[in-house]
This record gives sequence, C-alpha cells and structure tokens, in this order.
Amino acid sequence: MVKIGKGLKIFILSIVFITVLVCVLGRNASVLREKEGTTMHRLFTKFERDSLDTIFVGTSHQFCSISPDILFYDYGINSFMMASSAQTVPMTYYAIMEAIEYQHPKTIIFEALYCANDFRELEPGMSHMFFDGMPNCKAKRLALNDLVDPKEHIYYYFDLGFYHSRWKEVTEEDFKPVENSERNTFFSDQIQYNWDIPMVDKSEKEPMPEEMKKYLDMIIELCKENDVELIMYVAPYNSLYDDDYTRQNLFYMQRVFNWIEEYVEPKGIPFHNLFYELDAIGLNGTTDWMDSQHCNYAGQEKITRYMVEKGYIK
Amino acid sequence: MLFNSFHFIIFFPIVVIIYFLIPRKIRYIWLLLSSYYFYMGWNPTYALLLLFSTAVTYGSSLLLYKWKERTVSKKLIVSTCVIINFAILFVFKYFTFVTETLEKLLGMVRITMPEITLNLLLPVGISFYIFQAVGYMIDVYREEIVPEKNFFRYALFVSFFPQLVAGPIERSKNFLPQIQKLHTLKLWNFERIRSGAVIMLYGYVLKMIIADRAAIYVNTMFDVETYGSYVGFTALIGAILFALQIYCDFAGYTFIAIGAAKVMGIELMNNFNAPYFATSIKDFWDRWHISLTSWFRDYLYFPLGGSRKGKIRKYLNILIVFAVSGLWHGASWHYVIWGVLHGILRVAGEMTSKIRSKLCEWLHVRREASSYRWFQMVFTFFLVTVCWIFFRAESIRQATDIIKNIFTQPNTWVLFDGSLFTLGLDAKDFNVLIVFAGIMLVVDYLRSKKRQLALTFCKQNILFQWLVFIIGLWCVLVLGVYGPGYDATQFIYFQF
Repeated sequence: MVKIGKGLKIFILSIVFITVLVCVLGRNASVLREKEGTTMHRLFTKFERDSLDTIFVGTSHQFCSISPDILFYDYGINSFMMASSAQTVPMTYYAIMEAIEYQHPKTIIFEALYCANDFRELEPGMSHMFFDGMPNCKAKRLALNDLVDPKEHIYYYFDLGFYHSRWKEVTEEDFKPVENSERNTFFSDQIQYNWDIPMVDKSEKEPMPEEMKKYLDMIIELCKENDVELIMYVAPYNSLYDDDYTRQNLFYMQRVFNWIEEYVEPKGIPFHNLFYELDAIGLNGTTDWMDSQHCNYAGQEKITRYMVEKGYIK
Repeated sequence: MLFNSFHFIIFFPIVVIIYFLIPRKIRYIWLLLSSYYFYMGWNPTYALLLLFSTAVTYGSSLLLYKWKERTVSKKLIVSTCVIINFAILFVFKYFTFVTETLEKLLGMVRITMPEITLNLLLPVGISFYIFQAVGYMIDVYREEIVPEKNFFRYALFVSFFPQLVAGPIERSKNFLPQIQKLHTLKLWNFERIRSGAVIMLYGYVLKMIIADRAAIYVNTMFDVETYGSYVGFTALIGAILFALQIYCDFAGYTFIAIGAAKVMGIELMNNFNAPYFATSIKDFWDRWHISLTSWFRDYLYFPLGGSRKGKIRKYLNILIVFAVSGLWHGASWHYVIWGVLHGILRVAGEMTSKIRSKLCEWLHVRREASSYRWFQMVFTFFLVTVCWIFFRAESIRQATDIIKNIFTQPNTWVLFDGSLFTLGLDAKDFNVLIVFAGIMLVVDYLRSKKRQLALTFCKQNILFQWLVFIIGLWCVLVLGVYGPGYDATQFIYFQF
C-alpha cells in the first residue's frame, strides 16, 4: 500500500474540504438568487460564437413585445433576447458590449423606452438581476467600474452576500431551474383589459436627459466601430395610472421619443415609434395586454410579425 | 477594518500565510506591520497616536528600570507616563463631555463659559490600548515584570491586531513572554489551527446571526423619536434583546480575536465566562469583561485600599470603581449611571447578605437546591437587563421613560397578536434568534463547567469536524445579517 506523507494528506484533505464547501455554497447561491438575469446570460453563452444574427436589448417592454422563437421558427431569423427588467441605457451599452464580445451579431435592436428616463443610479435588485449571471468578461468589469459603487463590487462576484436574506422567501420553485426557451423568449398568457395609449403630436419634442444621451452616443459609436447595424424602436404601452404625475411623465416620454427619432436620423440609425403604427399592428385592449404596460403573448406575436413584415427586423 | 468585513476576510489569511512562511526571527515584525495596517484601516493619522502612546510607555519603562533604586524618580516617571496616557484619553474621549457638563453646571449659577470645541474623532479602541499600556507601566513600576527592551516587540504587545480595538485588555505577564518566544513557536500545529478556526467561527455566529439580528429590533425600540410608543412587553423584549445583543456582539468579537490569535500561536486571556449564568451581581462581574474587571481590581481597587480599610471604605471603593468603569465605557452620564447602578447593586448584595441568609433560614428555603440557583440566575439577569437600559439609551431620561413604560403599561396581548413582528424582525427571525440563543446558552453552560470545547472538537473524527465547519459557515453566510443595505453595525465595544 502506498504511504502518503502527513503534509500531503493534510493538503489533499484541505482541497477536498474546500471543494465540498464551494459546492454546498454554490448550490445554495443558485437556489437563493433571482433567476431571470442568470438564465439570460446562461442561455446566451451556450450559443456557438458568432452564430446569432440579431440581438435584442432594452427593458421588459422589449422582451414582452418581441418573440425570438417566432422569428426563428417562422422566419428563420437567428436571434436572442438580451433585454432585462428595468435595463437602463448605461446597462444596455454594456449588454451590447457583451453581445459583441461573444457573438458579433449583424444587428442590434434597441427598445428605447428607458432613453427617456434619467436612471444613472441602478436599483440594486435590478442591477443584480442583470449582472449576476454575466460571464466574467471585459464588459462586466467595465460596467461594474462605471455603474456600481466599488464597495458593492464584491457582491457581484459573491452574490450569496446579496441574496442570502432571501432564505425566508424560498419556495419549491427556487430549487428548480428556470425553463426558458433557448432564445430567452418571454411568454405570458395573462390578460388584462387596457386601452389608454398616451399619444402626443409627432411635432412635440423634448431632448433626452443629457447623461442618457451620452450613453446613446456611446452605443451608436460602439456599434459603428464593430460594424454592427443598430436599429431603435419604441414598443407601445398604456397609461393606466391613477396619479397625474406618472401620466404626465408618459406624455413627456413620448416627446423625448420624437426628439430621439430626429436626433438619430442624420446618424443613419432607423427609429420606429410604434405608437404611431398601432392600427397597422392591430393591437387591441381586450386580448393583447398582460398588465397596464406590457403585452402578453398575443400582443407580442402581433408586434413581432409586424416588425418582420415591415422590414424592421431582417 | 471590521472582523465581519470582506477586507478582513482577505487580510487575515494573507497575514497568516506570510507569518507561517517567513523566517522565525522576523515573525514579530510582520505581526507588528500587519497590526498597524489593520489599525490604519480606520484612520491612518490615529496610528500616530498609538505609536506615541507606545513610545511614551516604552521609554518610561526603560527609565523606570534604569532608576529602579530611586523611589522618588520612579514615582515621578510612572506618574508622568500615566498622566500623559490618560491625557490622550481625556482629550479625545472626555474633553467634550467635561466641558458640556461644566457649561451646564455653570449655567445653573448663570455663568457663561466660553465655547471650546475640539471636533476630534474618537480613535477606535483608544481605551483598550491605553489601559493595556498603562497596565504594563504599573507592572514595571511594581517590578512584577522586567521591561521589554526591544521596541518593536513592545509595540506589538500594545498593538497586536486581534485584540487591539476591543480587547481583551492583555496583561504583560501573560502576553509579553509569548511575543518574546514567537521565534521558538512551532506554527504548523493543525490541531491548534483548527481549534482557533472553530473559535473564530463561533464568534462570527454570535456576532452576525444573533447580535446583528437582535440589533434590528433593539434599534427600532430604542429610537429616540419613537421609543415612547413601545411599552410593556414590547419594550421589555427590546431590553432582553439588547442584553443578548451586547453579549453576543462583544463575546463574538472576543471569540474571533482569541481564535485568530490562537491560529497564530498566541493565547489571549478569556474575557467571558457565561455571564448570564451569574447568580449575583458580584458573580456577573467575575464573568463579564474579565480583562477589564481584573484591570480595575489590580490597578484601581487595590490601590484605593480594596477591602483592607473597613467596610464603609470598601463599599465606597466599589462604588468608585464601578463609576469609573461606567465612564470608561462612554463619555456620557447614562454610562456613569449604569456603572453606579451596578456598584449600588453590588454593595446592596453584600450589605443584605446576612439578612437574606436569615430570611431563607426562617422561610426554610433550601439554598443548595438547583431551583434556588435558577431563581438567582433569573433575578440577576433581570437586574442586569434593567441596568442595560441605561447603557443602551441615549440619555438618562430615555432610560427612565423606558423602564416606566415597561412596568406601568402592561400589554400581554402583544405576545400573541403578532405586533412584536412589526419592529423589524418577523417570526422567522425570532425563530432563528431563539434557536441560536439556545445554542449560545448550551455552549456557555459547558464552558462554565470548564469543558474545553475547542479541544474536544479537535478530537472528533475529521468528517464530524468538516460537518461542523460547513454547517457553521452556511449558517453565517445565509442566516447572518450582512450585505448591501446592512449598515455594518460596528462591534459595540469598538467605541470604547
């Protein structure tokens, strides 16, 4: 029998111990963390490099309005949904950087809702949802340095530190992997009646927040440098809010969208404001909304097919 | 640098690995550098203060030794050195308190004092290292030890990072010889390292799972704006939770310090011995913050005459020591009142000792029965908890209001209607607190029976040890209170 020295024995035991510990804590972290963001990045990095044609970025309005599954199975467009809840324009910039680093798609389609919101500071939950599953790439490092307080960086590499207090909310669902389509298509069959679309005249314009404009310019420059076509659009939403402030803000956002359209036109960036194409899309308030702002599957299908038929998505 | 910060979790293993690998002769230099780096994590400038106090006591101790035959010179040197050290403490900790008190007193006789403000930050752990240095100085004066000639070794004695900012306040007789023999120490002793690690882990459990969780309820209940709305059991539970918080916070720190030192081959003195199992106030102080209590006993109580000058003088000495102890904890009257209250209870305990004995005899109370001991424990805990209210409150007025609210506005229904869960801790948090407080009491009970738990742990099978480490780490990382949004509740005793 082979004799092992005491030092080597201790070394081997230490390695085994650390491995077991890392496995236990790793499994624990995967149960406790929010799954939306990690699922997106996990699915994204599964694709063979440079195999995707189109990548969608933006907020929940993006993933509620476009179905990459319909695009692939019905139109043969190989795309992926990289939008995430409350993805701010700075986050979108880094999402595009990650997309280009891993895939170098032909087209990036950016849903521009948050261009009208001056969100520089990220709400920690949303920020984690976006960053946690992100592979340790250049985009992640730059994004963290730019957007997150250095004191908090550690929690983006050790996210158990952020999610650990969720132990009180754990349910059976937390132990199961999230079953998304491989292209990260969002699906909702909920229905809520809505039809109060906030509209302003196309001539009404208001400049976008300066800080967001800086990031929009960076997005345009990044796509140009990497020879990726950038397409912008705005998905429709309702304005069913009780308070006047929020309602007025929705009209303000419409004016900003009109301004952006004019701003990006000379740069050769197509901008499609779908608020002005509602009839052509065929959206209705009875069947196509899951809540006051987001489309359900029926609305998503209508918008997706419309975008293809009009040539907005190629 | 806090023990429960990521900074420390990276700092400590690096210090230990390098300490284990470097040549034996420079181990103390490495520990000294690490200790100053650790301290400078709060405020680099204040490391100069630490250095100054170290240099003064070092120089004075050598002078004392040189002139050990000259009684007058010796007294002059030791007095000057102690005065300089206490002057530092006074300027940084008590100056504002004294001027404010004077201002109020003079205001009562309509004399206006010129406004003097220093706006100095309180250096972390100043009371601990000043007391340690002064203790050393007095030991040299009493010729109980020979002064350390190597400045760097002495500097390490004053600044050793595990116990620098919150004790235990080490004694030169215990600590200096260990530093002097560091180069002969066999570091690669895995049993010692494991036992140090498990002690540290237990410290983290106390601090992060119990103390910081209890703090959530306590902070809400003691909030100066809203404390008046918490009465009866709501306030009483707040007071009990504070008793739990302060013990687990301070003992947690101490266990981490003792464990960290043990990993590096240094044995620090025990600072707690199951204080809530005490059966009297005297017994409580024999078990609570032992290093401070024994410091006051050796360097204040005995020089005042102790119990050698009659009963009245003894009681007065006790009251003085407790008042000073209160003041040591903080420059505010509510700390002084807290100390004096303990002093009064301690004196009252002695004064009524015979009467209580006779009363027990007359009522046929069997004092050797365990039920009587439990009654004493509960009653002592009750007294200590009431005193803690003065310690935690922001003012004497707030403390008396809370005590009044506890005893004059009963609200038994809050124990059943869920309103206790509206002060920041829900039912699950309370369950965690109860379970871990139970574990803490069992550990305390075993420790009070002189069981060497860390040693017993190291004698178990390796799989059992792994299980304890993994479960312990899991508990700390999942059930601990930390992370974004957590305002690093500093270890309470850092401020002293």
